[in-house]
Amino acid sequence: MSEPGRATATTTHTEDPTMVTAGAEAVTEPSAHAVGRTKGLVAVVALLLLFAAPFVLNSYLLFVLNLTLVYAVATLGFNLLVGWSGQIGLAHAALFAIGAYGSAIAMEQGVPFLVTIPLVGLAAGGLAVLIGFPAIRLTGFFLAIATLALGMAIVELLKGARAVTGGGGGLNVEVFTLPGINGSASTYFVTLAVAAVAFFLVRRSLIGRFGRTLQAVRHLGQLSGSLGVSALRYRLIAFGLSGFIAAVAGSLYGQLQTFVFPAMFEMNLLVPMLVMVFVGGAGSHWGPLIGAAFAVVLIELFQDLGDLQAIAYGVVLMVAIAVLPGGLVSLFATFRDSRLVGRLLARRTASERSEVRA
Amino acid sequence: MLQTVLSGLESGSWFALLGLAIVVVMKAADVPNFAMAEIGLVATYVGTVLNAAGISFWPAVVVTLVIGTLLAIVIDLALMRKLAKHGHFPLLLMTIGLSLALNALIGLIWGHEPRSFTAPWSGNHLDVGGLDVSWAQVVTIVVGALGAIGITAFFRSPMGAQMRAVAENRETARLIGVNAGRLSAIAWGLGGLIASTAVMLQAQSTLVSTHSAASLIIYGFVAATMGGFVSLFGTFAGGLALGIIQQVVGTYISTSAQFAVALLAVFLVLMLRPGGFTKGMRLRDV
Repeated sequence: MSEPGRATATTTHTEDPTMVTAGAEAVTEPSAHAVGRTKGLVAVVALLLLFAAPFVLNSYLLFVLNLTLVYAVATLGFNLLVGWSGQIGLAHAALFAIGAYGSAIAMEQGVPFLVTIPLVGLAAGGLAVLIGFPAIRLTGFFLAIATLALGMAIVELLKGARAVTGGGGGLNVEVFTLPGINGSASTYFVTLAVAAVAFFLVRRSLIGRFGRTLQAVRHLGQLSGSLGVSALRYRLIAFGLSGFIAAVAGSLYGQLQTFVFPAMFEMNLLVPMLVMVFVGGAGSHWGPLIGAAFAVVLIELFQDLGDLQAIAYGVVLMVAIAVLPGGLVSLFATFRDSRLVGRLLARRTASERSEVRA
Repeated sequence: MLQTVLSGLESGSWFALLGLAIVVVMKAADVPNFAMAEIGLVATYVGTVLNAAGISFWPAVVVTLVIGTLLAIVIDLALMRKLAKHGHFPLLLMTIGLSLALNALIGLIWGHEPRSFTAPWSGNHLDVGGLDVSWAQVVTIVVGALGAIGITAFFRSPMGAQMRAVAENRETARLIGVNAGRLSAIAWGLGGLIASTAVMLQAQSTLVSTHSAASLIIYGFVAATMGGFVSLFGTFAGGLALGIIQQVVGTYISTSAQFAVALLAVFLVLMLRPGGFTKGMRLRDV
């Protein structure tokens, strides 16, 4: 019998209904099941709505939505590293750039776009493990500086390797279209499909043993060795996975922008990425989506303000941190833990229980 | 070659001072401060405005330093203090947000054109055995060295000792009666003072702008890394070495490689000597 806590935390994980049998489990499991089913339903409806977007939205809004999804995927990887494994690795923007450039260059060589997605993922994942090697000796702020330096060096390399990357001038990206669908809608569908798969897979792995091990390593550090868990191995795995996801998002970003240049991937990308992780709440499941939406809306809203844009951006960021040090997600948690909602929920569960018993 | 080393020492002094400002705040308040260069830049811009308005040089310098110090203290009290209990991540982001906002604010008020801080000795040169030395370089290097000595002396004073105690173990330091909050404000003020000095030195020799702050802060962090974020001497020496390496690379290889080489230096230092490259060189603990 699986533990009830796990089933509650799961949407896609509603296990075999036959396991709900007699005993104490029978009282708690159905409500957990119901919650799981509702959550699953919400996810499916949201996905359907998102699939309908190209038919409803104008091209600008579709671009914004597409960008949000791309950033959400990138943040998913960043959150895995920063939030779940607790390592502030700051090479994420550079790995994202590797994805964008790698995919574009591979397509120039005749590799189909959909094949380049896993290819750049693997390449960047391997690179991320190498970048993560300072993690053997460094933690916390020092790791942040080392990875920041390496990430910046990668972007400098992109500037320098003129023959392959076009240098500072940039590189055109060949746009992939699904047959029979117009360009921007096709790009959007690919992004949506990849984002859905990425969120599903990452969520599945994080709610299981892998996620808990990562958290254990984050809290215990080297001490986790006494539990038979190699802290170093898990730290490097987190680096590799986050790099893989970053590059996948990067390849989608290249398709969306159709033109890439090194200046896109400097601090002006890394800072919003950090904001997305932070606002969404480090270590949460759906935070990346919320954080990405927040950052993209903020960037788009303030776009025409010139110098005021950066001020507004900085100030909003500062206010958000000062008011909500745990990120936007903490707002939901505060709300959920508040007495009123707690009472409402408790009453509902109680009534459900009595229904089950009846 | 000597000429290159000389200009390396000059820019190295800016990096070293900014690195020291970062380390001082890091030591006492445990905040990696990405807004340090902007704090110095705001103060320096006020100074250049006063200077342009006809106020003579030394009063303008004093006002600049006071503004830099006060600005840093206000930031600590108003923004940083209550975030401290939430760990490093919000603090880091707060300083990043602050640097964005301050940088844009400078651009909004004073524009993005580079400016300089004209000193009485600006444009004067010395000839030392065939070497062309400008007074601006002499002033920068001397002030940089004096600043480093001053900060080191400060950390040996009773208050500096308290600061080191807080950096070592905040809880224990408080138990024995150290006022950690007051020390944090002092450290921020000191950091702001040093940062304004660094940016002002840069401005009296060359031009500063909203763009120069971004690279200055990176180089400052490189210098701080070389000292392991702890060692004052390591930070100072690291900054000077960085300046020389950077000028040599710029002269003999290419100016576009300067930045990459600096980044590589950080990475090597962190991999080979994570505690800063002077760690273990001290013969006795002082």
